Amino acid sequence: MESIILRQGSKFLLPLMLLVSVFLLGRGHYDPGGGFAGGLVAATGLLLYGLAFGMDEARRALRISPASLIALGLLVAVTSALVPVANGKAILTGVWYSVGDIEFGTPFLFDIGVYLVVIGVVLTLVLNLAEE
Amino acid sequence: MGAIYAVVVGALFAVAIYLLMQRELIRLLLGLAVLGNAANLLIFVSSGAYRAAPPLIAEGQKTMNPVGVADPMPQALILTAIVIGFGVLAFAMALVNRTHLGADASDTGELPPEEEH
Amino acid sequence: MNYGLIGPLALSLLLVFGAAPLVRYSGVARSRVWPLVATVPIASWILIQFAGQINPAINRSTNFFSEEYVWVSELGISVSLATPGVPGIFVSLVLGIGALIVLYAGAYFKPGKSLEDHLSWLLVFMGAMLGIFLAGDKITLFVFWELTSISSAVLIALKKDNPEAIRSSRQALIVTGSGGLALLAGLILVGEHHMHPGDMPVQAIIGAYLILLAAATKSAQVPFHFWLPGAMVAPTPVSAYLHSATMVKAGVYLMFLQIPFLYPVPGLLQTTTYLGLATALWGAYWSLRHTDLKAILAASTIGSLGVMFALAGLGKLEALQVLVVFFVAHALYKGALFMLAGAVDVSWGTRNVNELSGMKSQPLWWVAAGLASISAIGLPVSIGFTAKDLIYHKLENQPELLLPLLVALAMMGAMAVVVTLSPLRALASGEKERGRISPGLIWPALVLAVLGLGAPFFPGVIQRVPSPEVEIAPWYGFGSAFILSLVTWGLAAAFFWFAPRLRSIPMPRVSGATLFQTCLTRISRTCTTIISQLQSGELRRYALVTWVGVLALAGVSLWMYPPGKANPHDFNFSGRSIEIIVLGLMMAAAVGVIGTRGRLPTIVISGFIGLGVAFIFLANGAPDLAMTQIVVETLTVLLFVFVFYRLPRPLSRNKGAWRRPDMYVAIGVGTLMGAATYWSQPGGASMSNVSRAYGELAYAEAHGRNIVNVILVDFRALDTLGEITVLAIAAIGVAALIKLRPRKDEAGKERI
Repeated sequence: MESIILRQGSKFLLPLMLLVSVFLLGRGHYDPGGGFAGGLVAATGLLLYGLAFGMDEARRALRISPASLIALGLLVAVTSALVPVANGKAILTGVWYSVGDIEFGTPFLFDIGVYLVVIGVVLTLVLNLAEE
Repeated sequence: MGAIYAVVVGALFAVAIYLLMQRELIRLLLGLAVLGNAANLLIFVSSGAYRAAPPLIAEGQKTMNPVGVADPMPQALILTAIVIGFGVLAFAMALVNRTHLGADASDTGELPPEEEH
Repeated sequence: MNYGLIGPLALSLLLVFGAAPLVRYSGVARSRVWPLVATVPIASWILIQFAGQINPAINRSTNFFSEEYVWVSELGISVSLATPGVPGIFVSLVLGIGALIVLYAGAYFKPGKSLEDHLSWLLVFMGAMLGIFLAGDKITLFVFWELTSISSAVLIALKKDNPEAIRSSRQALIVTGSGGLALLAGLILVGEHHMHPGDMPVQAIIGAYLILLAAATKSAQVPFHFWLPGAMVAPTPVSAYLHSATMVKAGVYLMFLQIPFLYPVPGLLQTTTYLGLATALWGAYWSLRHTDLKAILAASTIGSLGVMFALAGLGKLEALQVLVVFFVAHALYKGALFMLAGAVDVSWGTRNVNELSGMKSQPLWWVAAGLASISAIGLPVSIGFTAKDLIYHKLENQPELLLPLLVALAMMGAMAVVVTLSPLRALASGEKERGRISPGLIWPALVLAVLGLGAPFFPGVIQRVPSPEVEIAPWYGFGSAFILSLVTWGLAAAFFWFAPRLRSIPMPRVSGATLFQTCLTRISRTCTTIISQLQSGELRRYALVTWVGVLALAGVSLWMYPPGKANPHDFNFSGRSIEIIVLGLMMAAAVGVIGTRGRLPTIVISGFIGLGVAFIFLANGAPDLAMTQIVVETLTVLLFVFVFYRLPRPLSRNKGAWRRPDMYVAIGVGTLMGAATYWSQPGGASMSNVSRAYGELAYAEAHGRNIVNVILVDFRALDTLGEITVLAIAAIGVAALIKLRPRKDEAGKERI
């Protein structure tokens, strides 16, 4: 797809969509959004970039392989599941810490894991099917 | 309104099932995609699609006011179902791709018979 | 009575079962110490005697020793073992003959692999058979019953490279195994019913007949007898032990146990008796016609089993006591004759009575055969004579039963003469003197034969409690029974004279075995036809069958539980016009997906459906879903584009869709799901208690305001964890599928 508009557009769109995805992830606990939506948006941004510049370019832009993203995401999710165990609670129980007004809890960490897994999975699926 | 939803969900299912029973692998994939949408819509509608508000707790309040708010639980179910459905579809596509390359068939009737056990 | 951890009866069983793998893997049967194996049944027997000795002191009320082990406590099923009075002699027979068979097998096979296999499986069988006689309840009985079927099938099939052995083994397993299933069904149906005449549920009557069926298959009654001659391909130690002395008697034993409870069932006793008489005559007749020693003995075993069935069918306690005596007599002489036949077979390589001769130089063999035959013919003094006289005593007033039994006994007497005398013929001129038969093959038979002669002098061994009606004695004087005995011997002599002529009658072409084989072939052919119809390997057919099944099942449940009235909201469309337009577009897109031929238009149109769904989510309070759905739909369209352009052909037009069943099945399923949607919608905005609780706890406990997200990452986080794992697996699967052939990029690097 050798379209100048697409190329130029996706150059700007990629950082924008990644930003949006992080924003969706961050606010997911309070407003519509979350790891699934955020991860999907991020992956779509990267794929759009790949459509414009070729999938190899998209891989390079990502820097880390999608498979590693999946593994990392699962690791983060499992870690968040195990934090309450270390605190003597049942697995996957929400544990919250607050610094001033900002609250941070293991469910949010879990959502980050979901986010990473979704990005990795979608990229693995689409890149494989596209490059074949 | 439920009557119209019922008609649409029924039509989507009919189309999906019809496509799933066709010989062409492409139609099979399309059928799978439509089937996922039909099933998600069925779950959503049967929890009551009534122009309700999103299941959010308003700023300053501690609990959700359940009146006039959509049921959050089916939504959570459907959300995972959408993503899983995408994974299944992609997997089916990979299978079709392989089948096409391996058996040189784009049609279920052309697939070589299974090995006798 | 609960005997703590483990009692002597269970120990006696474990000893036998435990010895089997020990023999198989220790190499004992390859070495010169193989006779040690014979100590296993003896030790087991001693343990059981010990249990029998301590009985009155422990359990006075039932007068026998019992043990119980909980198995499935929820169903009230336990394994119970007991030493009731009568089967004491059965236990001694199984273990005593078992010990002799072990010694005989050692001489028959010679130490080595073959002996190892056969001995270990014989021990398994021995344990199973012992279990049948020790079983204190029905379930335990059934389990051991099935174990005898299985282990006997294995024993027949041990000659792996002989197709005849495999076929016979399968035949025996199918016949006796089906009998086992009938037994389980029968025992359950009869259950705890007491069979009072006039107050008998139909299922209990059916159950009683199923039990009879089980006994008839196991004990080779006509018309199920054909598996027994087939089983004779097994080596003689197996035939002698399983197919004459023990296993085939299990059916008789079952009748022995059940007749006291089931006798009021209409027609059951008569059926048993006439089945037995028919079997007795059939088996006895064929025992005279065959020329193969083992076939002769197998046929006469069928005949003897028929005699026992006929006795069981009399339904009287005395008849059952007589049955026990005949049981013992038959086990002793038939076991001995089988061992002697096997001795000839393995030493001289033939067992055809017309070819055997020159046995005069083997005095040990013909003495043993002669002694066994005394009991078989029923000459005094022997347990055979006692059994025959007791039968005649009990049947004096029932000539219609006495006559066929007398004829059958006479024929089987003639059979014994044939088996004993034929090999004694002088050598024909020019025939070479045959080699010597190893004494190890003969003396176990001799022991049995001598026991058969001595048994009448020890009535206490056979009857634990002496019975005045059925008195075991070596001699009963010159009464009417003795006259009947004389008639029997006379007839036997006549049959012996005529036996060669009977043999010249041509064999019938159709037999039970061939019929059975035909049935099997038919069944497997029918299965193949059904499978080729149902499992054609064609995806369409599978889908069609599945959806037709869904329709049928859902149709039945809709018909049985019709839905209630529709709620009034269903036809209220005010203020939803945009939604209705979107739904209309989705309908159009759905039809378009089927009708469009071009690839790109089809993909784009299918995308409309997903976007429409997203809109409905958005309009009805589900922004999370809408967002996810839009992105996923975009990605789906992208994937379709990638995949479709790799497949070669454009979509073809669906010609004649209305003439094909899939169209109607699809419409049927669509209607069904539409109806389900219609009736499943709540009457108004309503929420389940779980959802309400989530709404109340989301902020208080999970610090979140978006309840959908809180459910996903906190309340139901385990589900989500599972889901992302599944996604990861799907991704790995796709990568693996695509990369089946490792591809290299320009840089020559393999990628995933």
